[in-house]
Amino acid sequence: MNASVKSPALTLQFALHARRKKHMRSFTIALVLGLVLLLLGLQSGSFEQSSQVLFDVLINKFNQQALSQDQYLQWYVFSELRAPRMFMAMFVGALLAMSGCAMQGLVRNPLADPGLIGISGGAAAAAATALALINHYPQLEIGGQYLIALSAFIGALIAVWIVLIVARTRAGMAISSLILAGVAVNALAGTHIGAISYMANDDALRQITYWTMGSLGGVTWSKVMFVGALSVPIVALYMHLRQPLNLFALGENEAQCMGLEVNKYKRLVLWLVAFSVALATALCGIIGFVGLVVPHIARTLFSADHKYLMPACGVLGAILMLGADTASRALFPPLEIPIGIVTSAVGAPFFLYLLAKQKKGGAIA
Amino acid sequence: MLNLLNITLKHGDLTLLEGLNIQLQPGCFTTVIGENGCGKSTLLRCIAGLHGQFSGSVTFNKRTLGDWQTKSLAKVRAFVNQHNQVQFAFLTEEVLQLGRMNQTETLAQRTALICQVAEQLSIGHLFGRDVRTLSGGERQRVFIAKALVQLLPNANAETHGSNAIDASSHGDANGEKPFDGKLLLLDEPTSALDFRFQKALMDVVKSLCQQGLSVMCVSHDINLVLPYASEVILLANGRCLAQGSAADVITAQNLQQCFGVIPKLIPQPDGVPYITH
Repeated sequence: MNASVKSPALTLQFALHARRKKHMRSFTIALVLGLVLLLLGLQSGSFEQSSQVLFDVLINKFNQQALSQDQYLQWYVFSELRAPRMFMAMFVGALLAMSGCAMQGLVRNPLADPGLIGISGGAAAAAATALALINHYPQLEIGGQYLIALSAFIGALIAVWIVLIVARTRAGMAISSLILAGVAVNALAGTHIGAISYMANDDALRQITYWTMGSLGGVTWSKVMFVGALSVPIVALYMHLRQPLNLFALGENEAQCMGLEVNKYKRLVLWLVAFSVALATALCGIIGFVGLVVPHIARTLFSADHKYLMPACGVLGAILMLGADTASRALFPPLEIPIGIVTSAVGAPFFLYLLAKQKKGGAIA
Repeated sequence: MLNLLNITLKHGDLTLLEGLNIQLQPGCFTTVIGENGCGKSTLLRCIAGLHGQFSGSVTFNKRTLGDWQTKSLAKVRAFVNQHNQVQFAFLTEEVLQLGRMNQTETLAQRTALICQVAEQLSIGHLFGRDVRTLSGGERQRVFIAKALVQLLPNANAETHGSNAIDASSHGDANGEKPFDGKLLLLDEPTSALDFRFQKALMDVVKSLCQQGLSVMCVSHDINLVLPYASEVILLANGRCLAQGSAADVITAQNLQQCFGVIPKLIPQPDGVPYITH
């Protein structure tokens, strides 16, 4: 290596190291913020717990001392109601945000949302059908809530499958056909939900509406464990997709010429997004805008490089959902606002802001 | 190193390429000339492996194109598109780093290679800038640099080390050159470049050809590329009209047949005529 090229190389190396250090610092700040939100979330809601009281209960429990009746109630609210839903919020937030990031990277459009390929529509249509059927024929209710979740999950995957079949061409999957097919499937699902709602009785209608607004109520540890166990391979796959998504950002032809098996990775991204969003939607209903907004925030705070962006989306998605869940319980106690309303209330104005920014000619990060 | 045998590509009733037979030797600079829509870019895309549905065979380094793994092919073949768009706020150095994604090397080795290419194409000052904010010409240089970075030999595996791109190093003691068996496909590489960088790019590419790199370049700037070209292919309606050295191919008759206008050829001392209207 000659001396004349050594200096700029070292400068670049230092710049890359400095950037990495900066991102690591931002990660640490985000994690601390998440921890603070976790503590705040454990205290807020219709049953307020101060962290000091909760800490005493935990110490007693750890030392295997008997709990007073008050403390038992505290312990119950903590261990059976709040802790599982907060863990669920984190898992679901991370999954939705990472799938949004993958979807935007794949279609090279910062306004893309995981729901674009019909996942949420399919899930909602199937869940609405199941809810209405169970309401009319209670003898069909086998497995209760799990039946609804399973129907939503299957509905989501069927919707994606239809979209993928339609978008398939001889040369592979065309992104533009994929988006158009997604729009059509979403419209079809909307019509189906409309028809079901028209025919359903008041009780079923209320349940359908509540389901489509998303909720973390009724989360149990078994559901959390289920999602947690599945999240491990899903998150690992998303992390594996960091470099392929960087290449997709340069265009499909460019990615192919740089050594990426474009069609294989396109399928992998789509099914992974479909599976993770179907999982989250099946268990918590439709939670909009997390998949759209979090990647934007992460791009602003971190970088467009998916090496940092993907993990940042995971962390920020979890934090946003923790915040939204806390807000949904703390804003109007004892009422609990469906979490989908909270995320949409924050997300929709932000989305409008992004569109306005794009209209002015400014590029979206 | 590259053999095209009877390449024909049809799209519906339209024949895009017909019966092309082309051979590329190591270290040769081949330029493809022809009117708009005659199939120049399509030919490059076929060779790059982006068009799967052609008939005939493309053999690259004695292996059929279809037998190459996408990853191993990317180490020896790079393609520079005419239009390059990046959707998100990637920085110049991040784009260049992507060119090395198939290589296992240390960050120090990687940055050294990137900086060498950046210096050659004068894009070092664009480090830290969002690629979307660059001018068309700057972005074109960044993408050409990325393609060169992609083809540079790995400092660990090969002896040529980090000075492979220096014009002074034309091979090692065994006579093996750092870019032997490597192919660079350029689609209108100078379309957005200014007067200075058009020539600078051609000089860099020519120096790489002397180190074994084979180049196939599609260009409308005939007078710029001809002095550098060791071989010229004249395409018309997807067919090869003439193929050979610039002096043989560039005749008034061939050009008239290709472009449908009668050009003026001004003889030059190097034997390659200057073409004007």
